[in-house]
Amino acid sequence: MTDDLALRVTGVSRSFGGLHAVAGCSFTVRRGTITGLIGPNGAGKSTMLNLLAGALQPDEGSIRFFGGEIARLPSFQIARLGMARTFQLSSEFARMTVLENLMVAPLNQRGDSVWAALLGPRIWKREEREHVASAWSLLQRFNLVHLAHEYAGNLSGGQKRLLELARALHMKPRLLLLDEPMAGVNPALISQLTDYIAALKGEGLTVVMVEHEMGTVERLCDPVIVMAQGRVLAEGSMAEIRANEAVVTAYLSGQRV
Amino acid sequence: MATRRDGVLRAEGITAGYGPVPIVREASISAEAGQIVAILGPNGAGKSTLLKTIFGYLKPQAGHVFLQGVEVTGLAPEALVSRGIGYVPQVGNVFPTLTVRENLEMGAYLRHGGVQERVEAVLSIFPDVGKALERRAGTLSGGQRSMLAMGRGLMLDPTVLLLDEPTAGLAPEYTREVWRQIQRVAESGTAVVVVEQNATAALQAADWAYILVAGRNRHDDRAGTLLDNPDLGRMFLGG
Repeated sequence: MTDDLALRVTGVSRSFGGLHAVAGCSFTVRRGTITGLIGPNGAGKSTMLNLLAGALQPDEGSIRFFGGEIARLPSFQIARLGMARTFQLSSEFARMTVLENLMVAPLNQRGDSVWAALLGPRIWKREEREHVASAWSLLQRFNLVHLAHEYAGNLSGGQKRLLELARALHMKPRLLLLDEPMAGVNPALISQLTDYIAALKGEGLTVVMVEHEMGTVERLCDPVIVMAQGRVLAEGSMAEIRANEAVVTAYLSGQRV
Repeated sequence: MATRRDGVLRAEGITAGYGPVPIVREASISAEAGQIVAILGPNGAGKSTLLKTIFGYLKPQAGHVFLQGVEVTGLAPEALVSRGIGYVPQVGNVFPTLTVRENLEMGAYLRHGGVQERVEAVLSIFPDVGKALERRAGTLSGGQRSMLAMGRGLMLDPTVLLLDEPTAGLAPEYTREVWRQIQRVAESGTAVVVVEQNATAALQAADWAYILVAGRNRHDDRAGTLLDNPDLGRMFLGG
């Protein structure tokens, strides 16, 4: 049964030894929103993102993705179901060109299966042509066409972010997880990157974004979910969040303990 | 910004970062002898970067640092240590395989005599550390390690002590204890500059506080006054 909710997180907990990084966390993410996930250091935001993506398994609780339970699925299966996340360009990917980086992304490529690869070059060749075409259209969209054959490692910081974004989008996901997309980005580029992310909303994509840069959260996110000490503290628009005393107290205390 | 007298430590108009893009922009702070000055602000505000620049780990792209009126901008950390600035980083601040005593003695590496007197003096500020003198530092609890790190930073009797998030990851009782000890350090005449994420605890103990947002000075005032400032939350949450 498909939910109109992109995500329904219920009672999720995850500990690391004695550290309760996420403790009984529950929230929902509506389809087609850019939902912000903010909170002071140590609130459990990145752990929560890793739990959503399947990089970590919860100790307790349920995570439903468009109605289906994903809480204990391995990350590659969650990716196949349509949840994408951006990954920092690793050294291996830095040595590939921008276009090659995009080409590794699409899932369920027929050429991936040994049978199809042996039996029908026509089948996967046509698919590959489609992937190349969609890769070029992504490059155009992010103004990276002139860098298609440049080594990804030679890109500027902002361009690398765009490439990471394009690579995640090449999977044609239903939901995109962004972990501090503005971290380390030249302030002059922040508004440009913000525009690119804002444009995703218009395409029916759902985005969950962990971010510290409050200007970005304000411009992009509605609603905003505030986590502190491993659980949800408040939810609402940025204006509502700012007026929430519990939120202010949590931020001024700075740490989870 | 409220006006301040010239201090034992003055950083003026510091612009600095780890690459071409500056993280700290034209930031200024000052601290007087025996004063606790807190540097607070949201994540990524540049607080630690400012401290590292003052201590010479980073060369500023612009700005000046003065110690007791003498310019020390751009000097290497070793030079600053011998001039009387101590620095305690957030991590890697003790030698885990050495004993507590050895850690303290290492802290006095520039001294050729009187080390034991310094050990006694530092232990009088941190009696808890004194109870574990022969234990390896790696076996200490987080709170004890933080205090040992601070103690080691005091071994050369610095004029200024820079602390980078001394209460990070500590339980509330330890946080209170660390702040009590910072107060004892300041009482002995050292100017203590503390970068902290836990603004509430810092404002309860410090004398003066600077709020840094996005690398710039946003506000500064008596800590007690800031604690009651209704705009404080907004400074952290934007808007």
